[in-house]
Amino acid sequence: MPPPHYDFLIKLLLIGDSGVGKSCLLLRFCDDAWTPSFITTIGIDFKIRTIELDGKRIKLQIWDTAGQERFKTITTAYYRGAMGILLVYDVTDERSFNNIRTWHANIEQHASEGVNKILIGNKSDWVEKKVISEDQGKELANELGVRFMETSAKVNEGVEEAFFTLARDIKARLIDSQPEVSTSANNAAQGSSGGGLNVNSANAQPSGCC
Amino acid sequence: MTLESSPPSSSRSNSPEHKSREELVKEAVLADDIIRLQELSMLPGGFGNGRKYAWPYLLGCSLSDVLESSFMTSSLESLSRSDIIPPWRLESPPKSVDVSEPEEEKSTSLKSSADLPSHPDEHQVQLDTNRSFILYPVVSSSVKHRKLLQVDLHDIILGVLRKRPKLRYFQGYHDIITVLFLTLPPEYVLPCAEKISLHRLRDAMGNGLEPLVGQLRILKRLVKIADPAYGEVLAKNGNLPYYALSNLLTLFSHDMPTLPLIQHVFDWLLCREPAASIWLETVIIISKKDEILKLAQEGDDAMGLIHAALTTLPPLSDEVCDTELFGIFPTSDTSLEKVGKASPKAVETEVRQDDGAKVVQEDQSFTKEEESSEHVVKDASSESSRELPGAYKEKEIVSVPLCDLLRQASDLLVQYPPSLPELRVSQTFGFESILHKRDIDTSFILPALDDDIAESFVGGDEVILPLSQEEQDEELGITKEKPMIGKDEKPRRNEKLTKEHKKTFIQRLIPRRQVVIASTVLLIGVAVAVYGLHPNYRNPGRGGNGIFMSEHFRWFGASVASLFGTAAKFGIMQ
Repeated sequence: MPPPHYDFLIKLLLIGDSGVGKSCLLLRFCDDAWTPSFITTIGIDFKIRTIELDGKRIKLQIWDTAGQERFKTITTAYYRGAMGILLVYDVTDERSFNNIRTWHANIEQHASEGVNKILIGNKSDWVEKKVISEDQGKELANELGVRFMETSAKVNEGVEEAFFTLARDIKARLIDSQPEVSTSANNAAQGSSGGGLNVNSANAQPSGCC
Repeated sequence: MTLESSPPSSSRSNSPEHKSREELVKEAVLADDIIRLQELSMLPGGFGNGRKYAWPYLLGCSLSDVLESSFMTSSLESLSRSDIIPPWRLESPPKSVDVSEPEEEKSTSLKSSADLPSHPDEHQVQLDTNRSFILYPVVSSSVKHRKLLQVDLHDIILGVLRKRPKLRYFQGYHDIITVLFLTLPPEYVLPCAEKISLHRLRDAMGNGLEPLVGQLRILKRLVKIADPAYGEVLAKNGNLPYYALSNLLTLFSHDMPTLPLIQHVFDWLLCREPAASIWLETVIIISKKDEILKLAQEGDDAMGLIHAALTTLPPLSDEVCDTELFGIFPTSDTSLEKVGKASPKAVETEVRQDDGAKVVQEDQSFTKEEESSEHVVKDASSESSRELPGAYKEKEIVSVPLCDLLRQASDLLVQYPPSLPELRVSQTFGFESILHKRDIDTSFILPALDDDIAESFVGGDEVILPLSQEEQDEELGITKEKPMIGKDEKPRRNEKLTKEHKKTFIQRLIPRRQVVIASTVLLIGVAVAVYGLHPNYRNPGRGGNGIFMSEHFRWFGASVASLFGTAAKFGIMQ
C-alpha cells in the first residue's frame, strides 16, 4: 500500500445563483484555466486539488452545484458533508447579490453546524459593469458573520486566496483544535463535522488533479 | 431482420436496391411502423436525413407539409438565408406558417408569443442561452454567428414557455431545444419543441425536480436488477445516482459532444417510451463498470471520483456514411465532416488540458480535422479524466460504438421492461407522469394526451407519488451505515430531513388554502359513498337491485368527491 499523499481531507461546496461563475472559479483553482465557453452545470460536479498549508498536505474535495433554484432538491443533499462553503455572487449582477441571503438561509437549514463560510464577489475584473461595490460585499459578509473576498476567475485574482483562506479556517476549526495537535485558540468552534476528516486515510489515492 | 445492415461507407451508393436512409425512414413513418423505426434507430447514423419526418411524427405533429415538400432546409441552413424569417422571432412579426394540424391552433399562434405575457423563467433562459452553442454547430466559429443562434434559441424557448405558462424552465432544457433547432425544418421547430415539452419533458417542468429524483430511483433499481453486485458498489457510494441527473434531465443532450451523436440518441429515444432514457443510462453506467470498480478502491475519494466518472459519457463513435445520410444538405455535410474528422488523439490531448471540467476549448476540437482522415463521428471530449489515477490517463481511449449501447439498451428494455414489478414504476409515478403506463403500447410512444391536458398535468400531485416510510428510510441512509455525503452525519440531521421530506409531500397532497374546502367536499363524497354501500351491509343476502343501488350510490359519491376535488384543484392553479 503506497503511503497517503495527503495529511488532511477537506470537503468544500460552491453555491450561488446561476451564471455567477462557480464552475469558472473551480476550473481556475483546480486547473489554472479559464474559458469564455462555459456550459451550464446540471446537478453536481466534482473536482479535487491538493494544497499545502503550514507544511501539511491538504486534499480539497470540491463539489460544484447548479445554480437554478429547482436543483436545490438535489444540491442540498450535498450540504451536509461540507466542511466549508463558498457563497458566490456576481458583482455585475445585483440579483445574484440579493439572493445571497437565501443561499445563506439554505446553509443554516441544511449544512452541518459550524460549517465555515466565505462570501465571494466574482467577476471583479469587469469594472465597467460592476454594480455591487466591495463595501456592499463586506457589509453583507459582516452581517452574516462570514469572510469576504472579491475574485476574478478570468484574470486569476483572489481565487487562490479565497480557497486557501477557507481551507485555513477549516483547518483551524477541525484539525488544529484536535487534542493531539491542538495549538489553536479556535477549539471552542469545534463543529459537528469533525469526524469526517479521515486524517491519513490508509488507502488515500495519489495526489490532486492539478 | 429485413433491414439492410450497415455496410462500409465505400460500398454505399444510390442504387435502387439500396434505398437511402431517408426513404426508409419516410416509408416507416407513412406506414405508422414504429417497430421499423425502432430498428432503423439502431443502425449507424440512425434516421439520418429522415429525421425531419420521423421526429415530428413521433412527437405527434402532423406531417402533411413535410411530406409534400420535396426539399427542406434545416433551421441552421435557413439562418444563413436572409429571406427567411424564422417563425419564432419575437422582435418582428413572422410570416404566417401553416403548421398543418387543424387542432394545432395554438401552435400557429406561437408566432404571437411576443404579445403573450412574459414567463417567470425568462431571466434564466437568457442566462443559459447566452452560454449555448458551445459544443456545436461548428459551421462557423464566429462570435456573431453564435450570437445569432443564441437569439433564435432564446426566442424558441420563450415561444414555448409563453404559450404553455404552466411549464417551468429547467437548466438543460435549452440543450434539448438546441438539438431540435439544429435538426428540424424551421416550421417544425416550435411545434416539436412544444410537443416534446408537453409529452416527454413535462415531469421535469413542474416546480421542482422531485419527478427526476423518481427517475433516479428507477435507475438505481434497474442497475441493481441488471447487475446486483455492481449496483451494490454504486449504492455504497451514494444513495441516489445523482451523477445520472444531467443525462436523464436533458435526454443526454447536455453532455453529448457532437450533433450527429445526440441526433442519433434522439432517434432512438423518440421511437421508444419516455422511460427509455433510464434504460440507456443504465447501459452507459454498466459500460463503465471496470473503471468504476477500480475507482471504488480509492478510499475517501471514491464517491467523488465515481460521481465524476459517471457524469461523463464514454467516448462514442457512430460510423456513418455521408452519401446516404447527409448527402442532401451540402452545408451541414461540411459541418458533419468537420466533426467527424476530429482526431480522437487530438481530442484526448485537449481533454487532458481540461482535466474534466465541464468546458470545451472553443473550436479546438474542430480545427484538427487535417490530422486524421478517419471518417468516424467521434469525439472523446466528454471523457473526462478528472483526477483519475495516472494509469487511466495514459490509457488509450477506445471509443464505444453508439449503436452497441443503443442495442444493449433495447435488449435491456425487453429483458427488464418498465412493467417489471421490482422496478416499482407504477408505485413511483402517478397518472400525470410521462412514465405512467397507459393501455395501448403505441400510446406509450406517440403522445396520447391532448396538449392542454398534458399541460394541466405539469407539476401535479399525481406526477410523483410519495415514498413509503421504508423507502424514505432507505433513501436517507437511516438503515445504512453511510450517509449520502460524508461520514460525519449526525442522526439529528436525518430526522430533520425526514420530517421536511414528509412535510413537503403532505403539503403537496393537501394544499394549504383549499384544505378546508377540500376536506369538506371529500367528507361529503365519502359519506355519500358509504351511504351507497350501506344497504349492502344491511342486506348481505340480497342481490339484484340492492347491489345495483349500492354501486350506483358509490359511483355517485365518488363522482361528487372527484368533481369537487378537481374544482378545488383548478382553484389552486389559478
